[in-house]
Formats: sequence, structure tokens, C-alpha cells
Amino acid sequence: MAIDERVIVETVAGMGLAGNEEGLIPAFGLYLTNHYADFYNRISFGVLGALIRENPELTEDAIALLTEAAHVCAFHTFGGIMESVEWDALVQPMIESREDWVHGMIAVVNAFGWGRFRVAQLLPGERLVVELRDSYESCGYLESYPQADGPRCYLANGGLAGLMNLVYQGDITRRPALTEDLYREVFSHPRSFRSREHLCAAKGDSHCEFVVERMQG
Amino acid sequence: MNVEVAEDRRSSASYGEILDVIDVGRVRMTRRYGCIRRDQFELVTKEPFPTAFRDWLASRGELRERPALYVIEVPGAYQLTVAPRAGRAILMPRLATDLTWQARAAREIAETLDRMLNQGSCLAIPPQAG
Repeated sequence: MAIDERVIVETVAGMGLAGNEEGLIPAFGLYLTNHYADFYNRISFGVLGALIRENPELTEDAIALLTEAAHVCAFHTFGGIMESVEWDALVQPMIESREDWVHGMIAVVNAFGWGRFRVAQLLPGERLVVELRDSYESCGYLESYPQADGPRCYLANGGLAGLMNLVYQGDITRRPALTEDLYREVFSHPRSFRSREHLCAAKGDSHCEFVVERMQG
Repeated sequence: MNVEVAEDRRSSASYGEILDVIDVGRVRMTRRYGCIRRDQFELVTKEPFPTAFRDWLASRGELRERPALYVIEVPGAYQLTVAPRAGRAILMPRLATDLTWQARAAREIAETLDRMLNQGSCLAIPPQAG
């Protein structure tokens, strides 16, 4: 693997990513926003709690909604990053294989401070296992709620599925236009990737861990 | 930049959709839909950008530089992010500017870059090894 995570993290962290007078962060070809993690968590977990209180039978649907939001976010954010000028300058020269696209994106995410992601296993085109420590979702959950009975890192979970779909299903290496049609084509494919968070600090595990695999079709 | 063509496509465009592609000498300029009030402009060349281009940009705004890329911030106008070795840059205008101004600013930058590329390769950054 040619990806030098230290260089990527240092460079991205040193880019001075901060809001301009519009309150936006123009970077990676995107207009990013800087949210308080607690604010985002409050909205996510608040929506989940409200739906479940209203009707416990909606639990799976509520989780599906948050996961879908993460898929859309990953498609545009990770996709935009991997097609960006910054990626061309910083990460592309390190890339030797398709798998390096995954490792490179994980390095960029680590620079954003969403937690400490580590690829534990990557089987090309088939499976990704990622460990995550200090996840802002699990840490944020435990700050406000008692220990959970299930995983709570919905954005990270859907985001990792999105990453694998971009690299192995949507072939981001060809730099396709990130349109709604492509999103539907990639994520609706019967063999597209889905992620499962089987360890989560919010439910008492030492860290969070995600397994991303293709659906059986 | 063909304003009429871009305007026609804008009426039904979604984020990131290509509105227009033109060649300004050796610089290919792609205009993409951002939102109703601003577009994005990508400048691509087949060769690395000359260092003189960075110096010219630096005189127009605040320069933030990292080893492999640099960013020019022109308050109230735009941000230009440049990957000089890759020969690629993206201009992201501010909302305070209008669409006509944005296209003109992008074209001016493209024309300057083309002029510098034509002035001589001695200023070019050599391709990165590996």
C-alpha cells in the first residue's frame, strides 16, 4: 500500500479548513459545513427517539432513514472528495491500486476528526472491516443517553457502505458525474454494499467495528 | 463561455452537472452548475501549471500553500484551489458575485494561465516522480 496516512492527515489538517464569511467551507470541490457534533447527534438521536416513542414498530424504518441519509452523504461527500483537485494533488500520486482509493479516503476522514478509523481488513471488491475509536456518534450518544441496546453510529456505518459502493460498484476511479441517476443505479444494485456495525462503544464495546459486504442479490 | 447555452441548461440542472466546456488556448474550462446563484469552474491543462501562475494569483488574494497544492482566497470574490503538478484547478465563487462576473473571472484566469503556458516551459514545475 502506497498511501501515507500521516502525510494526508498533516496536509488536510494544515489546509486551514474553516468557514468563510458565508459560513461555508469551500474545499474538495464541495461546500462543506462545520457542525457541532453534539448538534448533529441531538438531531439524529432525537429523530430516532421520537419515531420510536410514537410507534416502536418504526424502529427499523427510523434506522433505515438515518442509514439512507448516510449513503447519500457518502455518495456526494466522499465521491466529491475523490474527484477533487485536492485529491489529485495529495492522494492520487500515492495510489497504486483500487484498494488505495479506500485507504486514501479513510486517511482523509481521519483528518476531519470524526474519530480514528483503521482498516482491519479489505478484501478487494468483497469485504471491508473497519475499527473506529472515539467515534463522535457513540461518544455523543453516551454523553446524553444511557448505554444503548444496539449500535448507534449510523453515519459512519452508512458512510463506509457508501465508500465501498463508490470504489467497487460505481467505479469512482473513472470519475463519473455524481448524479441522482448514478446514486440510484449504484445503491439499488442487488449486489451493492451494505454495512453492519456489530461492535459499538455506545452499547458498551471497547470500540466500534463495521463489516461492509455485498448484498446477496 | 457561451452564456446562452449555460443559461438554458441551468433551468433544469442539478448540482455538479456540466453546463459548458470550452478551450481557452491550452486550458480546458468546464463550467458546472452549483446552485441558482453560482457555478463552479474547472481549469485543466495537459501540462503542470507554471510557478509564475501561482505568483500572479498570490498578488490577488491570500495564499495558503501546502507542498502539493495551494489555495487562493479572494474575499468576497472566489476561492481557487490549485493542484499545480496535476494541471488542475477549481474556482468556487462567492454568492456575493453574479453569474456573469463569475464566468468573466474564470475566463480571465484561464486566459492568464494560457498566456503563461505559451510564454515558456522553463517556468513549469517538473512532473513529480512516482
